Amino acid sequence: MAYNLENMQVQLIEDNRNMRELVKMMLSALGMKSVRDYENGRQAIDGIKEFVPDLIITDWMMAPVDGLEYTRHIRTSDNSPDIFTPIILMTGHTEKWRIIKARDAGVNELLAKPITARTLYDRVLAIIEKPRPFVRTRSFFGPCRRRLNWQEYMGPERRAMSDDRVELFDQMPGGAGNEVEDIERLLESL
Amino acid sequence: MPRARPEENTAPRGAPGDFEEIQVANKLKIKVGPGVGADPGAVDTAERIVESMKADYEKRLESEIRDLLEAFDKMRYGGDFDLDLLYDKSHEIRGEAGTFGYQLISDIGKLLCELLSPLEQASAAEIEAIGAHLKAMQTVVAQRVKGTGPEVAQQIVQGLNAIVKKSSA
Repeated sequence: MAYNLENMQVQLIEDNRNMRELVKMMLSALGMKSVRDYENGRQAIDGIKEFVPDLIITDWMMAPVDGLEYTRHIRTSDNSPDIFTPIILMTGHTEKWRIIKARDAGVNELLAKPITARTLYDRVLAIIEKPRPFVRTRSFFGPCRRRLNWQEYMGPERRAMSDDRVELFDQMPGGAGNEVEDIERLLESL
Repeated sequence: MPRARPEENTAPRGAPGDFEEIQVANKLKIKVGPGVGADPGAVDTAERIVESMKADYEKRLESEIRDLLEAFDKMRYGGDFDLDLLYDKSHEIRGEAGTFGYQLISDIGKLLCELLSPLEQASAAEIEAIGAHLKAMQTVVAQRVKGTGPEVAQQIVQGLNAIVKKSSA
């Protein structure tokens, strides 16, 4: 018998309505039926007073309160219902400095966009099965930052900007000098 | 905010010895028990749901890219470029497209975001490059190129990649 996720209370925060609906449907299909969704961190802060989540899944870039500010609220505010609440951060920003920033805010897991049902489920299972101890220092409170190689979350997308692609392009007829014209020609043959 | 640059020294530093490790009870595992492990059918069920939404998404994607191109053309005509708007829309398209199997759109969207991210203003060459990215997205959707596409699609991404690299050099 597998985990029963039906009663797990999930707070979903995402400002893009279409993406929010999509993730909510995915969560439901994966077994999570008790999901409340919010447009931004401000709404989530208000919502948490009446719906205490077992898990928070949040986007990063939102206004007026973004995903990292909300994470810091959960980890450090006197009004936080549980400073240990697991948090999964969804983000399309996978540059190394951003990943470090998310980690330092106290996020448990990163979920790189584009999201799939598999990656979403894997992150939820990681929260359940591989919880990390928390660490408190003078300037940090959150899940231990040493356990994971956070680079792994960059996934296959990080290869999109790898140097070998540029080298390949440089070998194309016309080189890199007339890129836009080359692309227009290629688009016509697509 | 969306096109923010790295801050200096973002990693907090604790004083030597200033460290407390707290073992937290796994309340979540207790709550989802007594069963253990993944539901082998869960991902398939969720993927079927996504698949059933694909036709509607494709129509919406076409319309979103068309709107973005129209907005870009207006900016080009008026000479006033809202780079934040272009970035935000490209970022949204990129995030959703991959989920629905349009990996190529997602890759192009990512490159466009990387092109736009450092720009304070767009030069003539950069405006051409932005237009090339948008046209590439429009063509890929019109031709319904799923996944990473054929060889020619890979060449397009390589070309856009080179533009972005050149722009940020």
